[in-house]
Amino acid sequence: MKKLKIENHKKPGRKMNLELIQNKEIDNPPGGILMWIVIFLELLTFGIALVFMIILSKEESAVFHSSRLMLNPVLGATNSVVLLTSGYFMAESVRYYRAKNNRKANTTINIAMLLGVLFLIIKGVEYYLKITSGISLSTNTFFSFYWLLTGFHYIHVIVGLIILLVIKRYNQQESTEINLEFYSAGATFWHMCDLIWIILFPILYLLF
Amino acid sequence: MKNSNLITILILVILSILVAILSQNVVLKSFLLIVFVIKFLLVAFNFMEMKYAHTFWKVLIIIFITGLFSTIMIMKGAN
Repeated sequence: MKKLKIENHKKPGRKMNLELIQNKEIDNPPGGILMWIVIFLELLTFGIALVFMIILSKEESAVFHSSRLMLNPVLGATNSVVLLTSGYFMAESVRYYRAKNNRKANTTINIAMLLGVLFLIIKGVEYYLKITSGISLSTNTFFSFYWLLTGFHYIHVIVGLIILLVIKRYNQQESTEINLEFYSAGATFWHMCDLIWIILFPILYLLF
Repeated sequence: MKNSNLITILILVILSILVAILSQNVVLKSFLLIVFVIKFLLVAFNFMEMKYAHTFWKVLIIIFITGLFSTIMIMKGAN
């Protein structure tokens, strides 16, 4: 039998051990099987769209290159760091909640949400700059993909923030197994926003 | 006990900054894509705790990201 390596927990309780052992079962990945089905569908959708974008770029390579140069990679990279840091605080929040340290769990989820809002603000500034420059969905094929892909991701971040607001109420309750499952599922959705951005950023901002 | 989340975020931030700096210059596209695969796996395995999941899920996520990476490399012809 494999020995589970449990880290991040100074004094892991029996309940935490039990939860991590349950996660070893095929029908119970961390965050829940339904959440992972959603994640794979989302990743596939974005992945297929990006592959189509690359196929179309073969026909208009000059347009794609000049359009890509109109994007600001510094803003994109800043947003990467902001969203990843937000993901870190969310992972810490789950860790504290599991250890029944609700006060720290609450503080870290608040920081994660604030960074999520900062991501939306920075992206909003980028959108504003594009719109004022006359760049829209119909400018060219590259920008059609840019607006659609980043727009859908933007909506996911908003939905993620709403989910974090909802699961925050579990901080006021005792850390039961069911509550922890919901908390973990909400965090997993938030991390999915990270994963999508990790795929989008290099391809949209750097590849063409 | 060392906090693996902290180590993960430090690596992720360093990789993000590195990519942002290198992208200003001429850089191998394949390097950018390899970094994105590393970042993806770090988030999935550490933040999303896939390291505790059944092997099926670990293999599935690795197949997805390497499949996407290979497809992009082939389609784009990145060097």
